Amino acid sequence: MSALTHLIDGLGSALTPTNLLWVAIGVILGTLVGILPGLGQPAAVLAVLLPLTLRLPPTTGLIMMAGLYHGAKFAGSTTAILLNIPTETSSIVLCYDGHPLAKKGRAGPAMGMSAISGFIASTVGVIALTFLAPTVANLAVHFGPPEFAMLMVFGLLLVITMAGKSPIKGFISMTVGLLLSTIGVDLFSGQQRYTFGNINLFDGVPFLVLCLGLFAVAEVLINVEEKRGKSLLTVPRRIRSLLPNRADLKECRGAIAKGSVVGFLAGALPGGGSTIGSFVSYAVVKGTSKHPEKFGTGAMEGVAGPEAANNSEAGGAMIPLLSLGLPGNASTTVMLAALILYGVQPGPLLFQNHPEIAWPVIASLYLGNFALLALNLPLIPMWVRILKIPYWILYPCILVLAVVGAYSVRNSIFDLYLLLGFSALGYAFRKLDVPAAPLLMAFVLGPEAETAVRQSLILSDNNPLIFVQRPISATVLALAAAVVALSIFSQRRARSKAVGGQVRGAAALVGLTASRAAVADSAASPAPVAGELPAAGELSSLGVTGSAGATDVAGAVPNQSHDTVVERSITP
Amino acid sequence: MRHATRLACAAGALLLGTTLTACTSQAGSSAHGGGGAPKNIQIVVDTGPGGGSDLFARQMVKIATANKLININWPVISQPTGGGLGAMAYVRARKSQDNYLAAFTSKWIVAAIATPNSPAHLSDLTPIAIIADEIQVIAAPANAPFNTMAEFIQAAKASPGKLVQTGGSPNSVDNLIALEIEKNTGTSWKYLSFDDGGPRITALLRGDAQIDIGAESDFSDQIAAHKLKLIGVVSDKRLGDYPDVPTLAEQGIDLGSLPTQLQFRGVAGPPGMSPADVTYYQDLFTKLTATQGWSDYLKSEGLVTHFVTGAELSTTLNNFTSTVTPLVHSLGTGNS
Repeated sequence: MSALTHLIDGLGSALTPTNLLWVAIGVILGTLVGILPGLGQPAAVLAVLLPLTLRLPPTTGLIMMAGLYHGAKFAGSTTAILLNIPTETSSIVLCYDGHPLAKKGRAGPAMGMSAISGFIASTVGVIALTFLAPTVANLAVHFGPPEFAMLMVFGLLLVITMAGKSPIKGFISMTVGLLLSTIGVDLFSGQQRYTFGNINLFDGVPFLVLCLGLFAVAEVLINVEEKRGKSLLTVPRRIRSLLPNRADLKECRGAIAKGSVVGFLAGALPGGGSTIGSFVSYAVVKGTSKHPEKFGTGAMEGVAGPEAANNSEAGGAMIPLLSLGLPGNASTTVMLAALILYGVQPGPLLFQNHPEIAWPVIASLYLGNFALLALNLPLIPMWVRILKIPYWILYPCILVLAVVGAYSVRNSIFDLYLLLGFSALGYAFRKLDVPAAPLLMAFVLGPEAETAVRQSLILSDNNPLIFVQRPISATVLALAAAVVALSIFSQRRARSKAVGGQVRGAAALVGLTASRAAVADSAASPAPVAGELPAAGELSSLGVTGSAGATDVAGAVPNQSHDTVVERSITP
Repeated sequence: MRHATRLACAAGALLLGTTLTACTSQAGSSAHGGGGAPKNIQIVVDTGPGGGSDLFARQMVKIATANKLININWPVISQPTGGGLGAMAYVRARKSQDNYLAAFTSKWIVAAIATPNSPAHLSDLTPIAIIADEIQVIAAPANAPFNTMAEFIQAAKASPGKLVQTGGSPNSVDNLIALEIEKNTGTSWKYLSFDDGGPRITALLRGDAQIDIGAESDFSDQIAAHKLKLIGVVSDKRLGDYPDVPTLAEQGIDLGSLPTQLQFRGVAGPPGMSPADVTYYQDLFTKLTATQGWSDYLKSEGLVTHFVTGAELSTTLNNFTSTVTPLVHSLGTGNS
């Protein structure tokens, strides 16, 4: 039990009045930065504050950074729930249920649930980190390209099953996201794709710019156009209804537990596993829920699961960082830089050589989450009042923040033109009732899926059997099949006939991903072009069945006329 | 009517935001008039905050301030587009504004060669000095059946196109080294790209890849934990920390005309920098690289001081460019 003693020692050395003051400063600063995207992304702010934190003792500095990290994450959830503006990859999922809850007047409980489930999950994450770090680190090393490929394909399948009322529109949105994600210099050949020779596009489209255009500006445009009352959404008067009630908590127990486990494991994967944690947890929670039909319309479980995953992910992400010296996401990259500047090289020997740093780091992570809960639960009523701000103040503020935020990513005026373009796209999507979240998810997952598939095929000399020959890869594939089947089964229970379209959509997607990899690998040979045909064929069959499904539920969907228009244009 | 007002409001806000940001981007670009040291010096890097070049520049400024070589902190400007091309173009556009410096790396030269109609080349700027060099080492899993690069090449000859080297983009220096060795020894192996350093290490640990070329500091911890071993050094002399690892030349491996200083860092000014300011900066960096803090920092990062300036600098840069150009073009990118 020496691990437990070390953790308690770590907590002991972390719990000083000075440290508590700095963690509070970190949380408040992080929350502000997250709410105002113009101030920069959490990772960038961590980096900017690095020189400041280096003047503090190592433990204090790291504790403040942990507070900042948690504060910024919570703020990302706040903007997603209140205003439907996700500013981090991890908060995209909240657009599905978090914002609908706010529309129902339950913004406060949704935010409270986000903070509470985050805190519980963080506890789970820290405990798991304390006891399972060596085991999970070993497992994470064996997670190579084929395993990642299956995980990412799984993620993309989930995007379709999550598409909601119109699978075909979800599919269109996802395809646009995949296309946008191909912009940039190809990692494997060094060739440029869709850059038009413009160096601003060499590294692809920045996520935050896409996000702000698609969600923030488009949301403002749509709302300005529609005649609205003075405030955005209804805000309940009574303060009690601003926090989750007992029934909410009881309903979400399972979701928090599942989200914690999924998030922890996803976070532990070195190099990019963390983005997928919230997506997978949402699907798992939805697939195993008693009320899957509520998802997408404002289910509290749809907030609790992904938020739990987001927070236990931080514990998971510490495993590759501390035990292998490999950062899992942007924020841990900065933590790594900080550790190095303190003269500590994280790696397999960290726990032996520098226990006085390693354990307080873990403890500080936990303390950061606790401070978040303590500071932000009482502040939720204040955040919710954002919704009461008259639109003629709020909208210009959002627009200014969006513009400054887009510019601040790379200090580039070009990104403002991108912002304008994506705002137009987002506006068109709203008008046509195409959901924008699948686009954003595909944009995040697409490049990772492509990279992993192509790396696997390089390893196997283009033999696709590599995906089922490696045990972990085969397991992930089986799990993916199980979760997709579960989610389809649970939807079948809810509404009987809209299922066929989704299964075929999933098949078409696998075809699409594979053919995309094949095209990119051997650009010169004509064979891959033929490989793309089945995918296109399946797309059209998707159009047909999708329309059948959509007409079946037409009674429930008010805008079926859009469906038919879009399908006709796609079916050859 | 109300409708129109709202739209006007929104448009106004958008315009205001754009103007504000446009202003900040222009701020601080006051040109320096000549006489004395340039004022408001800013240093342009090619990575985001926390990235390699960003940390390098910040450390450089920190050490210069600590040794009283400069009296105020130089702000670091991040231009992370196009792997150096954006930063180069940014400094090139600031002709004769001698308060702008670029912290360049050898990658910038390669990126410009690999890009058709590249918007900028390092030769457009005014190179001031090369100040550090990262020695490249070759690592393999500790349990690999070969102990030297020569033995790895033998294994690669026995099964051509089967062994795997992991690394970054195909235009990175580690792949260029591999291409030259493959060409000179008539062998071939696979190159598995990852955009991050972490997954490259796990690919070695997992056995998906057999070798990885990088800096000593990338591998030192895993070597101490007996997970990885070094099988060669791409340099004229052996490493101080690992005196048993032979250089490639000692192993009889020919790098052709490729210099052994491949991963270097330096400083350049905008086009048309005045000779007086060039001298000022040369002097400053000569003093900086002589400080104890500098050598301590370089050691911790696995870098060595490699100070080249004046006429020797342009020879070094020209040699590097002319050697690397055919290799990059053999990859099928860039102007042919």
